[in-house]
Amino acid sequence: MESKKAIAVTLAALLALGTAACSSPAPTPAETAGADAPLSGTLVIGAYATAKPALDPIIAQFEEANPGLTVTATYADNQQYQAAIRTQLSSGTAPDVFTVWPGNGNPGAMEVLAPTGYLLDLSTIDGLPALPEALDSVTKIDDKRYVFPMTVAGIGAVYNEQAVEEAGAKVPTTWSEVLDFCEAATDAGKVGFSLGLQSLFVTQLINYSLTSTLVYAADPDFESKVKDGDATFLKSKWKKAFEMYMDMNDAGCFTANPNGTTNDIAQADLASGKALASVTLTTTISQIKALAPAGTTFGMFALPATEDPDDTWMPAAAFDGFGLNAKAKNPAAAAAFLKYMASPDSMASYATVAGSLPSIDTDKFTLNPALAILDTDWKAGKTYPFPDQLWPNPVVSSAHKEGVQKVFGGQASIDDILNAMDVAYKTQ
Amino acid sequence: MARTSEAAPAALKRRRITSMPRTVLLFAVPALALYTFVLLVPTARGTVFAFTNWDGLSRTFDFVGFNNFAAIFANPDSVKAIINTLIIAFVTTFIANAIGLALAVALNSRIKSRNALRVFFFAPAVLTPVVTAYLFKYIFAPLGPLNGVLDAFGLGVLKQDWLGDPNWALIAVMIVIIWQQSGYTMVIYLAGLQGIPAELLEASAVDGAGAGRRFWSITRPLLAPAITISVMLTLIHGLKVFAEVYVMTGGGPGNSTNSLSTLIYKNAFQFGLFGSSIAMALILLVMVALISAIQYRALLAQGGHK
Repeated sequence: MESKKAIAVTLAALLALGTAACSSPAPTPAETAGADAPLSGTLVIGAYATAKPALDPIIAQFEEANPGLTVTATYADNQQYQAAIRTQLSSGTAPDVFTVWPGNGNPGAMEVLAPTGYLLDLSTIDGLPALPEALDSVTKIDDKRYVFPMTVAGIGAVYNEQAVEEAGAKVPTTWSEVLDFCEAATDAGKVGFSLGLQSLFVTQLINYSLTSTLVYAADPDFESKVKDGDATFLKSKWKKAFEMYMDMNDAGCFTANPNGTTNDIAQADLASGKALASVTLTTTISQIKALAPAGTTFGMFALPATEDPDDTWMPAAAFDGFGLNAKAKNPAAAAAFLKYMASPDSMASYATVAGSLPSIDTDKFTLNPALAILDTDWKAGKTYPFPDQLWPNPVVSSAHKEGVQKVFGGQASIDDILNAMDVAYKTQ
Repeated sequence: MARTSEAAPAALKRRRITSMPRTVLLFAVPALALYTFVLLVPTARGTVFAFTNWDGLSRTFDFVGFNNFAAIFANPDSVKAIINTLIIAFVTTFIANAIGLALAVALNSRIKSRNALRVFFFAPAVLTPVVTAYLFKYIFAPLGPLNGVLDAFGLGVLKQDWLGDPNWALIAVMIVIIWQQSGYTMVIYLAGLQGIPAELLEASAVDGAGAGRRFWSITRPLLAPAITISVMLTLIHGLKVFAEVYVMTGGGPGNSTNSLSTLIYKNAFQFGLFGSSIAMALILLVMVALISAIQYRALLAQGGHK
């Protein structure tokens, strides 16, 4: 009898422990009341690691302005973050404020998280400044905004000004000048465009650049046509863009063995002047600068895809997005922090550190000369979001990224990859 | 009083015997309960999710029957991952055990510096696979030390894009696993070899048996228990391989090195396809159980011990 009792007690204790671990306090929307009262308690923030240098100073200032509040911020690399945030949301332990990718395309993106009810509708927060309409497609669903992007980032060819001058190369404004640029680099014993395809995100950047001109500028409705089944990647100018990507490879534009080269090595080559340029995210310019010898300066151009410079668009997208937990433990502090981040001073400081443009134009921001082309094209409306932000699931992007490696490795043809992207697009 | 004291030992003995199973059960309850809650219940729940389209986030899901399993076998990338897993498991098991056994036999002799050499060969097994993989990612880079050394010795023709060439990437990953596992198997075999009585070997030598004959007829049969455990552990490590592939190649280039474990991770955490990835995990579980059981029985039949 005693042993049976002991077994029962042990099981009951374990069950109680399990129940306690699985449950969480249920915050109510009413907790948002009293937002004007001094903030107290703890505010928990979760973000991807690259946000840390830009976010930490804002957090410090916010804490200083709210002495009764403790802010805890945790950071993780993109993939680990995406895995963690989903688990935290479903188990009720997610941060109050956290990184949400605008649009779609990965497991931590707005289109994935919002339908599950875990994201707060930011339209309900009074005093949050309006965002440019151009960002609505990747920050709103059914007129409700779920993500607040701090910046606009672009994809362009960052070039080492001293290395370009030494090689006697000319910054290209047309497609044929791109090939001339590569030739000049090769003649000078350098690489035209350093390329580290082993880092998977890099694989997509040149195709995004070329298609922004060839596909999306030429037909701004292309994405909705694919969605409706009226167009496919395979039978579009995506094929031409991919072929031009391989033309650049055939012309010796890239680092030798790009599939075995990491982005770190590609960036180091650009910083040292072994490579003249590299098509990259604007957010990486500060990292490249940090690797470069003192006195090295960098510029950026939009990668041309036609013979008319006026045709050229560049990819630019809402970036560094943040959302609020619909079941935040400290909703008042979460809303106050988002408004603090959206202030002109915070926007300017964040964009400066992140190496991007602030998502809301402010005179507090001093433009980095290397971002001039992004600023010009963004204001002129000659940009298109990163395509994967509009794709319906992450598998399309994966098919594209792994496909680029396969084509470079001779494992598949361009048609195979575009077809795989079409299949993935329709799958879910 | 006297009657009581005489009767006590017999009663105590009876009680000990009859209460033994209950006492054992009582001690086992916490461990069994934890095992049930931490392993059995999640595994059973996971098995259910393998037949759903759950995305790991939504509160609702639909049952899709065997669709997840059918999709896995219809997808060339998943089939490739299964084949890669089997190649990695069998190749690394065979070579790592062969090298480990050879090292153990060599270092079981009375050569000077044998202790230093044992540490030297065992050291890789102490490193975590993630650290090892990052180290070799650097070594195998196109302009990395390996190609540099080949160049320096006039063997430039052998230079490869080790991790970027789909024909070499899986081989490079296996080299790292073998490098790490060989030291591990060496230690198991060394322990086994040290349990073999020296008199037996000496007697057979006196009877005229050569080194090869002594190894085959005496060392090998007496080493059978060590072989059984070593082969099983390396085989299971090979079947579950994740860190080496994930860090060195990310499954690339173009899916050419994905193992089942890296594909499970990708499907679950990058694509949000939890149903599909749990189905893959079940396939992996069955593979590990079946292959381990078959090799275990095969080695027992060869003279291994339970």
